[in-house]
Amino acid sequence: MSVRAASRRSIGCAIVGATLAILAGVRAGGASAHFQTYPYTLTACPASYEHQVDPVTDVFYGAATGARVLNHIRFHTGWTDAGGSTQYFSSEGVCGAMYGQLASGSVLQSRFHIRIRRTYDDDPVWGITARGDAHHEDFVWYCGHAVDKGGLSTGLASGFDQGRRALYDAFSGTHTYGGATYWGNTREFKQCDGDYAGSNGYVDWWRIPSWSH
Amino acid sequence: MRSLWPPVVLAPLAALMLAACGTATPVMSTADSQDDRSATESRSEGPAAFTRADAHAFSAFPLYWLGGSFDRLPLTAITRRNDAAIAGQDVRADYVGFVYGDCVATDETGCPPPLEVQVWPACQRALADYALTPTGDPVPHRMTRVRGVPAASFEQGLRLELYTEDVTVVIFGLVKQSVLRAAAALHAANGLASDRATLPQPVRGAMRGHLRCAT
Repeated sequence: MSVRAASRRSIGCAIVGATLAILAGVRAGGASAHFQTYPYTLTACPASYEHQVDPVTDVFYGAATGARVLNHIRFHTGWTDAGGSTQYFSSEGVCGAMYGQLASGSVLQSRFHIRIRRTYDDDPVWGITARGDAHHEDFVWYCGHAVDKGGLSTGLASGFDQGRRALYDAFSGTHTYGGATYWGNTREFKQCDGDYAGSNGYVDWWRIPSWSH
Repeated sequence: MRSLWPPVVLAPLAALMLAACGTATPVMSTADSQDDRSATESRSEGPAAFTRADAHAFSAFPLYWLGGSFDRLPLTAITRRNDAAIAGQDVRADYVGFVYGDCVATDETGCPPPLEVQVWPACQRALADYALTPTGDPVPHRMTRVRGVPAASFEQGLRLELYTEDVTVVIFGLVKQSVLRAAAALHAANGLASDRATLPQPVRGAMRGHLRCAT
């Protein structure tokens, strides 16, 4: 074999090898990227106990980019107000600010409210996913917004369960419901009015199509 | 709490009132909520509030707690949820929560107290109920044994669940070591629970979610 032929062969092998390596890497990345998330929103990054604020109550899947999720929520719920504080989400160890938020009223009204952020990695089964913290919060004159506590003394579900339910009612019949999964993220959070509010631990899954309204 | 007055009217009025009074102290201060009276009374919301006496007299399922204080954290609240069943959700929120320590919550920003113990009947909440996705991927956890009974550690050890007799005891904490110390210090809050160092084994079917709640 001539030097030139050997050289061509080694270059060819290198190209084939590099291509296979890239394909293997892509495949390995895709296979390992299963849905994963921190089960609470955060006041700041990184994800840690003292930064927790709200439980995640909803997961959107399919083609759930932040913009598309907000578009479908706005259309089906009529929640149009975008005022509120910034919170953060974490998945795969990557923490970042929410993509956006929507509410049924202004920052000076009792309202339904949700913040959204896309999950870091797509999932082979669930596609592009995003998480939300749907809740109902009362406007308390001396401190601002406080999530309803629910429980024995009120006979009502907590504000987090009310938010999840409001989204369920708005999406039912128009969006594919993936089901409810139990994460057990029931930690109770003290609110500015002194009450404690927590989720019942369920997360609803909603399919978001690839088109927007 | 829901106001009868439009917030757009109340908010400026409230600001004026606070300015006139020369104080911005909320009705319930952090200091107020840390004293023993509030720990006993939980929240002053009339007869429906769940008190320490209610916990001692509770007869629906065994209750475990950490007493009046733990690791210098006072018992600041006792919560009780007993929600109505929701279609499509097998787990009904039915628990007693013992909250230790305090934190400062602000507008739109709730805060996690340093430690909480929630006790659920195993017929409502069991390890078998958990799923991360609708296709049944597991919620990440690690199985272990604590106080002689099966336990599961979630959220990097900041949530520990003990499965004993017919209850699921869930401990939420600030740091893993504190959660483990709390597990070691759990003791009976009512007459149905055990004070032994080794807790009673879970009843048959409890961890598999096979228990039926009495109606």
